[in-house]
Amino acid sequence: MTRTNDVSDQVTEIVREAARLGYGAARIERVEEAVRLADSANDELSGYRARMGMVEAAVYGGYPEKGLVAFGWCAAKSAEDPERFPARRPGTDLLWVFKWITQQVTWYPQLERAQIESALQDMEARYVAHGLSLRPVFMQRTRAALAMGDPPERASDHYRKWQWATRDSYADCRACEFNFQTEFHVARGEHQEALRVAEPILRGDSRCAEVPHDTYALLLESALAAGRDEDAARFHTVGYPMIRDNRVFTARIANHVHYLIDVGRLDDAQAMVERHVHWATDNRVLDHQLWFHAAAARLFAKLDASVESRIAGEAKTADVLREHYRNAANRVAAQFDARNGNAHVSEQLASILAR
Amino acid sequence: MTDEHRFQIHLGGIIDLLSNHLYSSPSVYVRELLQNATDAIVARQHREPEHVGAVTLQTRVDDCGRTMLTITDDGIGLTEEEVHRFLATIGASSKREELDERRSDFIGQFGIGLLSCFVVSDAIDVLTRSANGGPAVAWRGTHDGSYAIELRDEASVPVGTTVHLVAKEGMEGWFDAERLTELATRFGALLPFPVAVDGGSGAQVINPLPPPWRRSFATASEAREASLAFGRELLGGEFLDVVPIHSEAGGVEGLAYVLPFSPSPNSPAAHRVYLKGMLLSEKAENLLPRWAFFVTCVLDAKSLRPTASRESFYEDASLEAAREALGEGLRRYLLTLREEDPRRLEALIAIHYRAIKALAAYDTEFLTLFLDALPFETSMGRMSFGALRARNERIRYATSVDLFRQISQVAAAQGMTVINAGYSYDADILARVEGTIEGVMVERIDAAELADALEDAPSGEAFEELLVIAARTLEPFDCDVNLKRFAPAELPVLYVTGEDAAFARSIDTAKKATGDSLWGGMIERIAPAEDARAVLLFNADNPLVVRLSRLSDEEAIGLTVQMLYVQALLLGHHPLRPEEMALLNVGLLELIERGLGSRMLQ
Repeated sequence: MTRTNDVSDQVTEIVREAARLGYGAARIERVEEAVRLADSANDELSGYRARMGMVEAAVYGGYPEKGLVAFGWCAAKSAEDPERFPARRPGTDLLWVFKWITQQVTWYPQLERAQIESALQDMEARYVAHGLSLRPVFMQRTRAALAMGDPPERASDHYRKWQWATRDSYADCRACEFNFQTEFHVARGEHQEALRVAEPILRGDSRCAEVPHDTYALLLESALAAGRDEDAARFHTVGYPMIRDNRVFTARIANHVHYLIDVGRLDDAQAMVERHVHWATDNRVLDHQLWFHAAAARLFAKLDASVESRIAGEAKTADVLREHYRNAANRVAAQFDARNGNAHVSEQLASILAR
Repeated sequence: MTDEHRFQIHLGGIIDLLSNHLYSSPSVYVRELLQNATDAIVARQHREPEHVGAVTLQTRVDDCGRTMLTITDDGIGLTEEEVHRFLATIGASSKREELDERRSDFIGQFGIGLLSCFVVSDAIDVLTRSANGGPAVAWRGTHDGSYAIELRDEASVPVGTTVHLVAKEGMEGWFDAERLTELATRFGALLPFPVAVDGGSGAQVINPLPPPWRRSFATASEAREASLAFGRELLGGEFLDVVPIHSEAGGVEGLAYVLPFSPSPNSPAAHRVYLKGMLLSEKAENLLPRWAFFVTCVLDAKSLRPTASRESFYEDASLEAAREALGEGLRRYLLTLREEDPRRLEALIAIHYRAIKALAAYDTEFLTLFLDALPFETSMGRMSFGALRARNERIRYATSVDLFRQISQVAAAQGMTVINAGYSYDADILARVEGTIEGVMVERIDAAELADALEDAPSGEAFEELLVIAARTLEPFDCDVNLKRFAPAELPVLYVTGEDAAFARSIDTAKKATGDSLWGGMIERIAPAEDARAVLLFNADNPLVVRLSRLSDEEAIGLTVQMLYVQALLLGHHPLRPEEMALLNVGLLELIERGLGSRMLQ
């Protein structure tokens, strides 16, 4: 018994200590240590606690797939024995982190449509069971519909229901909601609308862990499309330093690469790709990998064929790199198309490469 | 002549809005009054550049036991028309955002600022005379929404404004002289004109000296001492050092204090920021670059635009330019320290190497200069890159703590120094060194590469049977086998697993807990597709392994391999999966039995 208590205390201590670290690999390592410790002692309650810490560290630290694995363990335990592993608990709880998980399920083409739908249904069922507003569920449904290229009416329908549903304590904060509204409009090419809904964020009134970091990257394209070049320049100078240290933003950095290409700063775009491309190549989140590789392919197509880039310690010419990243992106896009049952992702990719 | 008027609004609602939403505490009324006085003095200085200005807060208890406060300024004052205008302003505001927008104009701010006094007082009396001429105006407003205006042609009323408040029941404490002094100091210590508090025993000026960056000193050390003392007073703490920083953009000036401890990069030190001498925020965050989390600053900005919450600045080009200039100031400080005071730099790096690394990861020039001084965790203990470089022609690094743990022991025995680059910025920095700094050989290493780097054992038939049995034994555990020779010879086997294999292992554990549930099915699908298998390396130099290879008892070999495998997992801090736990339990008993059995046969 004493031993278990020791382990439990140690796990608590490591998780707490890790929470003081910034998001990133180091924090994940610390929490993994806590998981290992709990598992070695066969202490499931500590394992539950450590894994909750893992979900947060991984989702915000750039390894969301590790969060999915830790979450799966917790969700199964909680379903099996809700008294020992309560879904609602002080601090990070299962119902709250559910949102982070359903947010990422479309990012892996390996997951089937039916599985994604079941994940959303599971979230809905648990929210209903706990008497919570379905607002976050509709938000995630909107997100999934956008990502999988569902008919636009379906996404709009979820979006409306999301906006109508009551806000309770499980709703995302205003900053995150505004940010997703922005993302929604950007995805549909409604750039003026995107800039409008982002106003409270741009004014500096609404902030969160990833907002405005995310928002600035999202709006680069909209600002250029709206002819607001000065704003775009500001979103870039202010936004990039906010995200350049955390690989969770891999796909957003791609937006900054596109921006640099759009304004003709090819040297800067090249430096940015060289700096971050390993985040994409090593990424298990194929969605993030795809969009970064797409930006890299677009860049290398713009550079003179003989320009050299050093990637992973090796110098290669732009024409070789263009082929390499274009093929890699096409392969992954095909995987997404097969899962989605449409050509949404490959069409998006083709339009990027044609820019 | 007296006019009776009524507000066209429900004042109670506005007061509620102010006290519950706009203001975090009643103390804010002092800030608002000081702000109003400051604005008025600045406006008067526009007309009369020689005007210095002064503000006095006087508190007393009258004969009836009422606690009162009078705040007097010699600013520009208000005309009757302006008094009507400020009333219109507050009357038209019903939302926090609207109120905030109206602050940008002098009259609007005056009205909104004045309203905050209703949080502590039921009635507000204002007596004001404008420098622009006209009679003095007396205004009295009460919390029920009625107000009266009276014009007085008395020459005895000086130009400026006097606000008179009577404490509400329970609010007397906010009028206490000591508290007023504290609050006036907190909000107005940097104001460029005297602010005095008079509690009945004479007026005490709370800002007798300008901040150190506006004073001149005979020597640098005198300036440093004064600056440190200023920080001690204002921020309440001892600091390692102090750096004057400034930016043309935004008109920012101030001091950066080097923290005596290492803060978390995730909750960066808050800065105390003033806007034209008035406190804006004690926890402003976005005025310095993100890497600058080793300092806490006191800054006064002339022309940056605060956000509505007044806790940070609006992200615009001048803020970005200011941030860059302030960052550059800190960067230059570090560079100067390197030239002039290496010992202090060393002390600073010992505490703040994370922040220095955060800067170095994005600044090649800085990285080149500071690399040798940066500390890293290595298989030979913690050492600076310079020391590492002196001892090793080629420097290898592992990108995760896990990986490092697996290989450090073996690497050390091969005389190989490996950096544990699993900490923030380390991997980024080393990847950068690899491509940019001449004459330094740095390479990333993973477990598989380490295995490759180890010497292959002479392919003898001697070990063949052992390897075949071992491979068969470990097949159910997704583990391959290989033969190498490596130091230390006492180590019989080494378990090596890459990132992917470790991830596959965590999936396997989760899968066992989730079974065939929805989540189990999903997790299984994101498992690494290719052969993410771990490898157990047998050490041909190890006597036990040699003896094992000579054994002909297949069962004994299998059993020993199982135990070596479990032991290697434990040494690498890998938690045992249930089937490995079973292996341990059953295998151990069997080994004991065999041991006892052979004893008994003897």
